[in-house]
Amino acid sequence: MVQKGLVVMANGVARSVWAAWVGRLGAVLGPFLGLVLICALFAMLPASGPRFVSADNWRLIAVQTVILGTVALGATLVIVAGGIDLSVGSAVALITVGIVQFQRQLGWSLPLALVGGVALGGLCGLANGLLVTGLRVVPFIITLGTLKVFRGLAKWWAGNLSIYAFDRSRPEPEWLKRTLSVNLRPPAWLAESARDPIGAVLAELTRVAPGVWSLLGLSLLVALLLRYSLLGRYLYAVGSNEATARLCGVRVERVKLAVYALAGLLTGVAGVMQFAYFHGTGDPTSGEGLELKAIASVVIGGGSLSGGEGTVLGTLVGCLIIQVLENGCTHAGIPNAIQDILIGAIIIVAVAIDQIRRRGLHGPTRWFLTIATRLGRRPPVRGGEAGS
Amino acid sequence: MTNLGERPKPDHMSGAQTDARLVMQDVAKSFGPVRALDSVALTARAGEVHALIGENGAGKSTLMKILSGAYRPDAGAMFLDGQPYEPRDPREARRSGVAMIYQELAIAPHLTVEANVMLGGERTVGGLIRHREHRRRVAEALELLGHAEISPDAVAGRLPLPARQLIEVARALVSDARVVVFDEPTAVLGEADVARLFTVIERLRSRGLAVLYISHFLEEVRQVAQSYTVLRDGRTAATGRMSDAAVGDLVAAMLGRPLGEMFPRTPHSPGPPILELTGLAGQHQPRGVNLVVHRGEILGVAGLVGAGRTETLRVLFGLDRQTQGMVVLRGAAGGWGDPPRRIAQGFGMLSEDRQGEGLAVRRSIEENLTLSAVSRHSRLGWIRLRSCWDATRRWTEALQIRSRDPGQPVEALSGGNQQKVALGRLLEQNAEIILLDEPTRGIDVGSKVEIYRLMGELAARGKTILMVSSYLPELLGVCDRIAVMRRGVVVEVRPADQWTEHALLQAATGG
Repeated sequence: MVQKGLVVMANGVARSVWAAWVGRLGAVLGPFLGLVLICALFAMLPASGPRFVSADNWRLIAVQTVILGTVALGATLVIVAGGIDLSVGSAVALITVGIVQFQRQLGWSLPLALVGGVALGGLCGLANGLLVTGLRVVPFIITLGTLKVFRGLAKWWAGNLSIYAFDRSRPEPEWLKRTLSVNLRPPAWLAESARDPIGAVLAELTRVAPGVWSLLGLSLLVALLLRYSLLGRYLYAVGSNEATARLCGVRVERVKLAVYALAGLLTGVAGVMQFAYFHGTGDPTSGEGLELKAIASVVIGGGSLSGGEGTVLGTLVGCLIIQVLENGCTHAGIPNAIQDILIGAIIIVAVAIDQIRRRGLHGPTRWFLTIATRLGRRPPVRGGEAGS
Repeated sequence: MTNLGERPKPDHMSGAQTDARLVMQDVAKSFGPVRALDSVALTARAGEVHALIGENGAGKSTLMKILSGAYRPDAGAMFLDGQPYEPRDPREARRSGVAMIYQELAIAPHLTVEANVMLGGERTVGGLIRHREHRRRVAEALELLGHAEISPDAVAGRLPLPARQLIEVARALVSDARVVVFDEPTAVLGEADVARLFTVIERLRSRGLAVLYISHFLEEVRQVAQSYTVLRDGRTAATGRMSDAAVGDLVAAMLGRPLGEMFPRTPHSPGPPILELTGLAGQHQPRGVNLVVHRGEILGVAGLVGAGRTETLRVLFGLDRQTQGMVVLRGAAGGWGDPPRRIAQGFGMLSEDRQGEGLAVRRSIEENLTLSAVSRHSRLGWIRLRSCWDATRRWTEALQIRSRDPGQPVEALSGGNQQKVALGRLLEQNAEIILLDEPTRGIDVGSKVEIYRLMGELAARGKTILMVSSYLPELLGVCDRIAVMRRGVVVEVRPADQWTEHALLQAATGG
């Protein structure tokens, strides 16, 4: 009996170490390798190569990823919890309009208006959450509805036009320009030491826009939240199996409300970034299709639309894949139409590979067992009873 | 399929006998590391009902799926009337003359009886259905089964369950089946319907068909079958003529040990009442349950499927809505059901649906074990992972949960180990009143015994256990008292030693 147990354990260790490696790394490694492959491809294309690999271009890609990345962080939370939020693109438009109108109509200062924009995002998310939990209608339908509602509100509030926060009498402050700028200068004290390697690296880092640092900071925060907080634990539980969560006394409705509100706050930050990116424009038509890009990023990064799966790292890699593809295609002179086709294909391929990886998990083990049986030496494994 | 698992075989298994309709030899099947079937031999003769007996998890369903072509065996051989039988899919199995009648009936509820019976075997001329021939064949089949009163034009979904079952049997008849396999056909039937079904099976037998009858109700099997094969842990444990076998032999073969060792008892003495249910009712079920549960006792709840046993636990715990009645806990009003409140009151619940509700199977052992008490391992909303891991390690050791590490997803574990994770959660939560819904369903015998022992130890430590089970020997073996439910109410409560299987069944059916 003891010996049998040991054999079971020994075999279990061998199998599981393999499975764990494939499982844990594979989830992020796959998309990461895809990203590397795409980068290598553009770097080698003569049409795009030199310009693509330049440090300036990478800073540009980073800046271009900020808005999508921030929205996708929220989408990760929602999707991990088994939900979906289609309204984020419209919400971003509403928030940019809101930030302008807070200043023009209510006379708020710019910083206050920006905080108001984030809060407005939170309100949009809260509305989604209340509708989802209150009406018990699936989030796809609810947020499809609020997608139209938020867009309509944005158009109505802006009077169907793009509106501007700054003009000659009220110029855009320098710090807002810097937020998502790609041609920042390193501070003077660093520019002098640019010749030694550490100084050069530091100089390059200081040229990275503050918006990019904000995305990285938020990513870290969301990653910690998912892994170490009670809420994170409940998100995975609710997304993986809502009935189990209920059985274990998790207040499922509150968790859902919290996740939509949190995602809304992140959308608010994305709205602020959008406002900064377009130098103080409140554009009621902006952000269209952003929700689909965000969902695509999560899914490419290993998230599952049936919930319970998804990581911040995976999502960031997913965002980068989409942005690098757009950027690289532009440099290589590949038309916009082809970009769309490529991104669509990548979504399908990424998820298909992920599925094969999951189902094929037992493949090698099964193969091994077949060989062992053929040799007439039955493996001394008694894995318990039949799957019932 | 070549015979890959070449090993010395007992002589009597090697050759197909003349009247052997279906022969299975050394059939083996693994799923990943789990060996579902190890070495199964089975011979069913024409004009005979052959019983396939075994506990849940013994491999019956896997064997049946191999027979039906849903799975392909890893090793072994099958013969049908002496010819090699190697179905690649269910359709080919049906064509070869093997008809399956599953517990979950395969009936299109919106179609008529006739359309259902002929489904997949329609006779057509130029793409059009030959209705007259259909009607004739269906009527013939129903008459043969002794149920000419069922109209071929009736809509299947509106018929009572036993009649729907007959549609499947009729389908087997019109498709000229040679072997008909029944999977636990009586699990959903009342007593009178069981008798009628046995008449139908007798008619099939007398027409020279081979009937394979899968069940774990021994009394029933002894009544209907002439020969038997007992499956245990994926192997043929015994086979023979039913007339030569005593019930005790069959039980011993099923369990692999005498009944006495199956239910280890830890001495414990129930204390004062801790929980009183008065007229507890839900939206559909239950309809007014009155029950007093004592501290430190194991109270079993028996009853047929649909008697409202599971719903009683769910309403009590707050998973289903309570519409009427009162819950008195430790002498004070317990309030309406709400899982977080109940957990705070010391309740813990084990779901009957381990995969669908009991566990988030894709999440880790650690997450599943600690989920209901994870706030205890956290401060200001942040989890102390170290503390969670320690707790998990403690329980995996105490319950002998066999796994590589606590980070493994629960779905990688065997059924028995999964159930131990679900039970471990109740222990981690330190639940005082433990509601168990079918705690040993679908798990191996070894794990069952461990769970029974655990229940006894918990009761001895003053925990209260309310257990719903459909497995009567287990209720009789581990409970202090057993309540029987019928149609949404508790009809009778007695100490376990004053019940017999027969008496329980009688009380449950009202017969």
